[in-house]
Amino acid sequence: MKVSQLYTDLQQNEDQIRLIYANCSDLVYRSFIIEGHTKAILIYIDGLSDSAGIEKNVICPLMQEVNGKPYEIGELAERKISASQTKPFTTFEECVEYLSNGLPILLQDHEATGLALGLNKWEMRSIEEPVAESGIRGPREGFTETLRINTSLVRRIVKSPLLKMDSMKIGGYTQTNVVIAYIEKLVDITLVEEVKKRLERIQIDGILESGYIEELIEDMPLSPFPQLLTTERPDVTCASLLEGRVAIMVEGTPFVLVAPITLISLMQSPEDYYQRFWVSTAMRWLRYLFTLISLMLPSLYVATLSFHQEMVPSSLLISMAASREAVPFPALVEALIMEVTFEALREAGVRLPKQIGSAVSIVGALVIGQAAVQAGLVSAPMVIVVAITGISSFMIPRYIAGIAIRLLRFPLIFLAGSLGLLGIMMGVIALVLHLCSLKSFGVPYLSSLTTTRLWELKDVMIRAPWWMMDTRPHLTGKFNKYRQPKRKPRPKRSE
Amino acid sequence: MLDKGKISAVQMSLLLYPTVLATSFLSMPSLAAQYAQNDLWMTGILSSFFGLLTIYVATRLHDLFPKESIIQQSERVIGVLPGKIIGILFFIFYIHVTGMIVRMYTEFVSGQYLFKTPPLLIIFIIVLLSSIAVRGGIETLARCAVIFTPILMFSLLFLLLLFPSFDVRNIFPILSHGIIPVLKASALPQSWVSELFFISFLLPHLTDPKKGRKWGFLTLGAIVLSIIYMNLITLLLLGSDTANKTYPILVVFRYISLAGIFENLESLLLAMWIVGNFIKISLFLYVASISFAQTLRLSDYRPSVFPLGILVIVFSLWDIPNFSKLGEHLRYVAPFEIPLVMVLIPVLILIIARLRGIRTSKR
Amino acid sequence: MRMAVFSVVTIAILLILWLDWPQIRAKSKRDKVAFITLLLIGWLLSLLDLPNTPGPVLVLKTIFKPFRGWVE
Repeated sequence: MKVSQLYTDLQQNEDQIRLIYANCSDLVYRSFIIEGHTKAILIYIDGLSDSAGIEKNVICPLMQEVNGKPYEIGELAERKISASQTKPFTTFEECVEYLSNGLPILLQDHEATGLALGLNKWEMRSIEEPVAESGIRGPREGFTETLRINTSLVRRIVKSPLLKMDSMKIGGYTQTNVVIAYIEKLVDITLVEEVKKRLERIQIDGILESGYIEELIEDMPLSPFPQLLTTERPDVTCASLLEGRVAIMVEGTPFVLVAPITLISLMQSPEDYYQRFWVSTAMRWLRYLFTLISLMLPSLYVATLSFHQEMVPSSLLISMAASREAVPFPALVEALIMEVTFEALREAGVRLPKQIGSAVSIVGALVIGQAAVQAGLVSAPMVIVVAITGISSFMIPRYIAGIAIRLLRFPLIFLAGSLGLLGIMMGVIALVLHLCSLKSFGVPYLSSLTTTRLWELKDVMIRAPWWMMDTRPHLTGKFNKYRQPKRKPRPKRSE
Repeated sequence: MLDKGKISAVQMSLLLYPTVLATSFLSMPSLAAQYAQNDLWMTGILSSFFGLLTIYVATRLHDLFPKESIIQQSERVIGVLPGKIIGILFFIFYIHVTGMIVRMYTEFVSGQYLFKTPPLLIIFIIVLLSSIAVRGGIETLARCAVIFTPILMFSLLFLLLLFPSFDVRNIFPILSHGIIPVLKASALPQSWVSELFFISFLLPHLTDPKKGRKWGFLTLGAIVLSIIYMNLITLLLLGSDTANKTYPILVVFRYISLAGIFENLESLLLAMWIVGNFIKISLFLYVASISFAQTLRLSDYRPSVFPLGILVIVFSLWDIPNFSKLGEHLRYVAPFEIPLVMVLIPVLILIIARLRGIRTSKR
Repeated sequence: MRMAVFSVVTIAILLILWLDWPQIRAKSKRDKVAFITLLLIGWLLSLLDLPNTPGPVLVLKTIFKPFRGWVE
């Protein structure tokens, strides 16, 4: 692509653009004459621009013969063109950039400056409730694929001018617009610089989804745990911004990235903050418990049955042994078969058309549950274990973390089957070790859990009532420690 | 500094607590009972002496030479060549003791739970995990300790469930044989407690070094309390039978039975044992690697970690054909070997430093 | 047991070399020598029949023999 300057002659400019965009039948070249004396051309990509707006605000006023004076391009913008945005440009590179983003460009004869008009408009999905992150209480608006709408949703919530939005383009062929949002006096400026540095380092053909960017800027892409949060909700994004984090919005996907995060961020749901604090605290504890269960229950079951039978209360042991009598496989193999089947069912269920969905769930319940037990392929306790594990893994608010935990179950089951409780402990130690050394943009992944400032735990172990949430999390919000000087109202003291 | 990590004083405590207790808590009551019989609960109080001394020496040396560990400090005080000899002695000693610890860990796991698993596999896995932890640096180790140590401490509370079965009469008669048996009984706990000298390697990484001394003594207090607690409970439960058991705490855990559900908590004991020893072995390996790298003035300690791990595996097997030989070593040699390096040499270095009139570090 | 120990150690050493050698290559001679020496010592020691070979336990026992009476 030539970075050369525009020519003064209109025909040469037009020929150059036709050359660049050869064989692109969706480009429209509209030549007309301004006020009866100057030749001009309007070029835009059909489908990306607002044709009605072009007709009304550009072509119509320009064609009208008012007085015979020739205009400079700048004067045209000031006096004649009533489009809401105009941007002058002088190089072909800028011209291509504007055109590809849907802005029509206007070129005039005898001028080496062109004008790009802010009349881009295209078909887009309306704002809907996010599919993967719905809840009972809270706003139901979700991001869409259009970057400008996403930034506007965030701007509507955080109205302060300290909310900054830096933009850049990534991707050789896609030139995807990416916006980095942060609140100036809250965030650690070195964090913003690090994020920008990592984004600038990306050299890739195209960015189709924020997932590409996520993997390319993570500290440890090989880890099963995500080091950036993905969310479709503006309220989650803004809450993170208020804690001193950075949001990365990518054109073409409603999933926004937030950095840095800790393990606890993956366990928190925005609803926790909208419900009453007793309810939220109870829900949190339930969530933590069931996360542990979803990780360790199958392996504990296998280890207990294979190595440590003495741990089970005797009455339960007898019924378990009876139910396992017909099963030909050892506990380890049985567990693996069931777990793999369950994962397959779950994954298939994501892609099923709605009509078949209910039929498959009946098939699943009958075939897997009932028939397999009766045929003696698996034992009833195993089905219960798998079912509980499956349900508990869905308690984790962030889908990605849920998958990570689900996958980690399998190595633990292997270890349990081969080395019993020792195997499980080894697996747990290895997991904790990995989490302890993981960092998300310099913030240790487990920092909220392993902090020795006990006050930090108020948002981890419980959900503290709002009048106690005075301080921001230490590692991201230390520049502006207090959320507001004197939080009011405080609970009333008796008079 | 080889490791630029920073830890807080509380994290230091949580690292040191399992380092001292992990191996000792299991068999300590029986070893103490063999000397002191029913006075064994007093050994906790007496064993604090070396702990106080060693923490004092380490923090004093750190005041004189901040941000340096004993290896570097000894070079300053007694000269480069003698300092290097001390350094080599230290890291060989650390590797040897780590090997002993790994062997003790494996004997319990293999002998009581996983009879059919080859011990070499158990040794290999724990050394591998510890090596990976050490390579992560002191911050990783500290964070692991913050997660695992509270679990360890919390599990000890389960022993209180035995309350109905306590027989208080087992304490009496008090001091019927005089104080000497109690002193003899506290010999081995003294050596474990002197491992608190590791504080010398942790003080350079503290965000606030002034808190080091206070938290060191607090850790010692917690350890002593835990020792008294466990010895007392074992005594109240098993009485004079304690001396006959190899692993009295295991027996105690087996007794726990509440509402038919909390039965057979010995598996919990296994979990505690594994986790506590993981931290202990990791810290030992860390100290050994740092000593090695500091003595030889290497640029990074990380490459030496895995090779030292192999040496640990070697030492855990060398010259110990069976469990009784290990027990013999622990009873007759360890009470002298460990305090020699952890207490005596540092005390000498401190005395020499004072004699030479060193007031503050001179660079 | 002997073969097991030796083969485990050998495999471990090979893995260590494979993982760490690129970093060691870039460092000073002193680091390289220390690294190789450690691996060599470990490897040679694993050739012996370890549990039954007299070693540090015996050495220390002899050193501390006079103190034995204190803890009888």
